[in-house]
Amino acid sequence: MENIYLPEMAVVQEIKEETPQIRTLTIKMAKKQARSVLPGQFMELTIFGSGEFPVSVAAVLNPEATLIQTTIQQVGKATRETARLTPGSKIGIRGPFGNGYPLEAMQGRNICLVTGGVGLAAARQLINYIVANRNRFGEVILLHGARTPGDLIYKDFLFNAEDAHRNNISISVTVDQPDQNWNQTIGPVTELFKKVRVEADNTVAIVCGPGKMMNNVCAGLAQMGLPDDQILLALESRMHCGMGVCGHCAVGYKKVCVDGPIFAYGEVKNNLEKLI
Amino acid sequence: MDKVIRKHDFLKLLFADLKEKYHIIGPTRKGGGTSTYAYPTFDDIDRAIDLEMGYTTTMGSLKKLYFPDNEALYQYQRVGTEVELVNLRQAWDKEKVILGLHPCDISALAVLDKVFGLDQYYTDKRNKSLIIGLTCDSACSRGFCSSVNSGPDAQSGFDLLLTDIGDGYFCRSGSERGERLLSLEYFKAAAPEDIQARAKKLQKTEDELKGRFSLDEVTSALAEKYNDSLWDEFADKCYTCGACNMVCPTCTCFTINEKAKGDHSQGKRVVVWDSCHFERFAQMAGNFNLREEKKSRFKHRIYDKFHFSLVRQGKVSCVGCGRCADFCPSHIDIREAMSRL
Repeated sequence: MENIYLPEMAVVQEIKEETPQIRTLTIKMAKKQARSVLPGQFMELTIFGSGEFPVSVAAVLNPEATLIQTTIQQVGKATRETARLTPGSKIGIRGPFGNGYPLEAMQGRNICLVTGGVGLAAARQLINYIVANRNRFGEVILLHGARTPGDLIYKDFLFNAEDAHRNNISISVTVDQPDQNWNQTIGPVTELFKKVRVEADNTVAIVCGPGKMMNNVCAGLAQMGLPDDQILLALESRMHCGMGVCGHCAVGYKKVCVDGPIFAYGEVKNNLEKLI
Repeated sequence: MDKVIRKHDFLKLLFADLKEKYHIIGPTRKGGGTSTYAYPTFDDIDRAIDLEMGYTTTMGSLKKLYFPDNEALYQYQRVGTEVELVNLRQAWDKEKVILGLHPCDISALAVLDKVFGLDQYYTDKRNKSLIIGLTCDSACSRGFCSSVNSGPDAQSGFDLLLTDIGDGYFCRSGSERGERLLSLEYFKAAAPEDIQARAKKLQKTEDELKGRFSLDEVTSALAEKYNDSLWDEFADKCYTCGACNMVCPTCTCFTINEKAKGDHSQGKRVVVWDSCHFERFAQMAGNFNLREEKKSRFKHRIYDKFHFSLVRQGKVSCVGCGRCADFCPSHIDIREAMSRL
């Protein structure tokens, strides 16, 4: 009989320090069995001895999806323990879970990604997918904000003008509190809206970041004329099982783990209980 | 198929036949003696004499049998740089017969099936269960099964359904397994007066039920009254102790806890029951809580039973057993909330 709570063993292959609080782990699954991980899906990661937490899959590095990357911010009991992981550490993995982005409905559209802080990680695999299938999408822009320049993750990606140009993606970055070397936009991510032109009827917006930021961004996008069903949010929640059983992520009649984590803004707005 | 069995045959012959093949679970009285009080509960039954078929309600529901309140999932052990996992979940070695389950609790099993259907350990237990239900002799004081269509009669979810008709039990089959049981020689054909006696008994129980409300009116009112001040008043009385969740036959929320040795070299992950009333239930990393206010947590449980489940699954998930009102230390009675909506 299958014990659905039993994790699969995996090994940490590489660790990249994004910021003092955020690390990107490259994880290799022990089982070679091929699987598919859709952009926007998440996994449950077990740090044996500390606990389990849900984390979005930031990148899938091989076609069998046995080599993946996740970016983890150290904020809770189990995530703080990730600071002690070293290459070779054994961890547990369950998943992938969740719905993922509606890739088919997004085809042929312009894509406007608006992310904040570590929220960029939840959009990272989607960006990889877009790059790999670039001709299936129209104009692609990424607007990213962080608290300080020191809090920016994926700097090699955000500030690689050559790659961005080759992939035909326009990237703008802003920070709330600049340091003396900062020569780009200052202010919340909505500040970047002033610099872009979004074709309201043919754009899908992807939003992921802290709750307050998502609220402000959704309001801004709505003001630009984007309808509710063209704004997609990647949400997070407390989760224990990841499969719609344990009840922790139930918000109104939605369960973040199975109905989400990707929601259209309309679903979020019309839910009796607050999703963000 | 309808048949009748004499009580004597039920306790002697049927019980013995069932015991040969099954592990028997049924209503029995616990406590008493030096305990503070005695109460009926579901437990292993070795002797027919221990059965308390005339019980009104039990303290806990049967959910513990299928969804244990403390279940170890697996154990991990570090051996050098490796980690070894051992599956700790256990399947039943013998099939069980559940005797004397009331219609509300039979309906509750259907709710659990929807939640845990993807878990093979759960479905295996359910497949290994023979359900012999029993309609209530009299109404319990705070139950409202007739308001939520889960009693006093049951339509499905059982293999056999018994009704006490005096010197015997009226037996209705609800499955092929139940029909096969009814073919045993001590089940006799049901006479028209037996059918009448059953109907009369169920009518009596239905008439005794108090605080009946219209489910349609309640569910449509809930959709409109999420922000009603009524909820302040109820939430104000709630201690957020979670007693209602624990005794509820359809509350299934749980937490997976880490039980690790201090040096993290060995440990288990364990499922324990949780309560949506607890402050940290929807607390996330980064100190963000989806339901920080007590009122929003109080509403979440009520809405989950009567509104969200209806939107998601087309059916309310409250079965009207009344245990939440029985065990609420603040005497919050869900019927009062419903009638005031």
